[in-house]
Amino acid sequence: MRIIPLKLGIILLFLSSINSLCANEKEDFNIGYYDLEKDIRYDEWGVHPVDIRSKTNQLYKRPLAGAKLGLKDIKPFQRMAKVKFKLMDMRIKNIDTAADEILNHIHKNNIKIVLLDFPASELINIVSKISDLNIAVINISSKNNELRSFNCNKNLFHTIPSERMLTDSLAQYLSDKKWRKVLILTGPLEIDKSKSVSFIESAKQFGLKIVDNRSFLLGNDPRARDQNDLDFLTGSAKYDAVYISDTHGEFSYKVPFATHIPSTVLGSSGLTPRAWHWSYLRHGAPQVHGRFERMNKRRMTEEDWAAWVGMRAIAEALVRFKNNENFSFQDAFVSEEFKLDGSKGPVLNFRKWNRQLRQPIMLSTDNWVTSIAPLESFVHRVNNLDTIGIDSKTSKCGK
Amino acid sequence: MQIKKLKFNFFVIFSSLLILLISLNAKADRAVISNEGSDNITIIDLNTYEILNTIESGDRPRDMHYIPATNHLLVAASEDDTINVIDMKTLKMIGNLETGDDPEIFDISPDGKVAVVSNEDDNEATVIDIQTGKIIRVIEDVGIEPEGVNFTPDGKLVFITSEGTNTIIIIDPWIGEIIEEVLVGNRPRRGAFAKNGEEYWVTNELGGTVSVIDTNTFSIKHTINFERKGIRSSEITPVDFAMSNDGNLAYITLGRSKHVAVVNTNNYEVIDYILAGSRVWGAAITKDDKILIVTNGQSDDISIIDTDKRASIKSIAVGITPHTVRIIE
Repeated sequence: MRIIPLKLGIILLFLSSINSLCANEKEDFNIGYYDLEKDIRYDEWGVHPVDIRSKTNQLYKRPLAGAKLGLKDIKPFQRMAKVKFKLMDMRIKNIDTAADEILNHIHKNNIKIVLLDFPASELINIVSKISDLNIAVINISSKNNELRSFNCNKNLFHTIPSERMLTDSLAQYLSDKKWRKVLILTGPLEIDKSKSVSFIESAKQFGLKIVDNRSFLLGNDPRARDQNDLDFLTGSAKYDAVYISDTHGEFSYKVPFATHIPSTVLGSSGLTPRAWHWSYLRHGAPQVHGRFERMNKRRMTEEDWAAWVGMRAIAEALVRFKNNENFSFQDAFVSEEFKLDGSKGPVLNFRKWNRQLRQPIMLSTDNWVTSIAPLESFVHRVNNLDTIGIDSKTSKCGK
Repeated sequence: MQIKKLKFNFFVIFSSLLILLISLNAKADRAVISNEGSDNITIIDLNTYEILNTIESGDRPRDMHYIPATNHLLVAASEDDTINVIDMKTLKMIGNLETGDDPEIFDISPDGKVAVVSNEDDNEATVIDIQTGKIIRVIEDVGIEPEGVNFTPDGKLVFITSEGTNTIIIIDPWIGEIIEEVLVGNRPRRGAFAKNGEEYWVTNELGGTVSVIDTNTFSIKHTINFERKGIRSSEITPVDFAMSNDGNLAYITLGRSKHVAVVNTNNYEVIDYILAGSRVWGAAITKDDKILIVTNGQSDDISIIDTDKRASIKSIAVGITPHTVRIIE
């Protein structure tokens, strides 16, 4: 008789302890990360021939490493966000089925938000296919201007700066230095041509004069000397600076110190505009870079930073806005109260019209950040960070 | 003869007394400034505002605390992973405390026996026995890039600001446990207790605000905003505090805006803004609340501020990137 209540008591105690355990358990918050197996951007293009053979060089440059540091860095936010962050990555083999594969992966794993590392054309295709899910997507690597000027999507956010932000930064620097006459050297790829177009637009906005726009070719063919010999390419013109667009970087690294007349080289080599550079010493950047380097044994690239800051944006939005009615990342990211710390100085947030992350740009050489854009002498009526990039007036997005 | 002798003795005694007085006076009021870019410490006479000495420290000296009982100055040498102990009488380095990696900011328990330091790179806080110089315990997972460290006035708890997680983490250093975590603004840098420990004030560098935490309920009781014509909100980057000893005013350095805000601690109103140098950050105030000294990280100087006039009366060039200032009275 006395045994039964005791047993009941034990069972009750057992049940209640399970209950309290469950209450402490944080709900999983799954973040999807997708990239492409055959992505030309991660080939050995632009890597110095010695580095390709070098045992000391790390050729693995995929920004998944940045997302992984991001995951590590946002884990302390779990206490406040009351969730458990998980990063679920998948590498797509076949580009034709990419959107469907991603869609399946999202459903199967209850993915709440997505980071994408794809070139622009594939990116927009995937985003439009998963648009019905109403899930926020963060682009961490495509700088394509069209994605910010007319080919937008209400769910698509960009943490990597646009090409226009980069070329505007260079134009501000040249204007500030009064090096106003610029010779453009354009590479053979479509993406090279679009970079040069972006620079021409920036030059117009900041009052620079384009002396000439010449195409270069890789090779030693004596019949194409005007396109592959630097003395010919940079001769018979007067300029203060040479802008070079060479996405794969195999030609551009030969240009600094080799122009026909003394001049500054910028763009794909010389002074390069980047979202992030390992040599930056202020605003907590060395701490972020140190954590990355200890984890991955290589320098942190701008794509790594864009993936890392994308992860931070997710945590920041959850911690501050999760308890709001009808919470969505899409609303939280463009809220006035959204403030993101990217370890680059000012507080960062997304532009409402094209969902591009506002941010300073580092004008860097191989081992030093020479200047930060926006430069002090350029002011905007609302936010100085909007002196670089596609402004609300010119963007057709959000209208 | 006797009278002459007496006169002579009197003269000797008088003059030696005078010399003693002068030397006492000269030793009494000094300001020490750590220069993190030039690895040295500048010592300034607060009567004449002359530089008395520049002494070498470990690499990248940052936070400092003075212990009156032993006349020792403790200096966090971040790149040497240690805290230097400097004898302020001989101005010689007499020892080091174990700290773990990259110590930046630390605080000393009210009884002067224990130091707690934040290790920015390891997301840790380290508790150190000052007398033996040995680590007592390490508290892990105190948020990303922990910075500000403050003992509660009763010495029971330690409040740590976590720059990367935007929170204040409250720890019990005596048992090594995290007690509570409070969400504040973006990039919390430093903290200070007000009203005998009833409130903990925190500067949010990127948020541009100061959060006031009720230390009984661990909740945010008030947020102070700064606005001044001619200064963009993005330039308002609060870093450090100097709390007046009468408890009525808080002086808050506003970084890039080159100003120091004067706040009434009773009603949280911003009374005034004082112009200082480029990237003003470290701050300290004299016991009589008359003189405020701030370090200007980007112009390599300090500003001496008269708190009655609420104006800078002198700027003194020191070492490269002056970080912390302390006043020894």
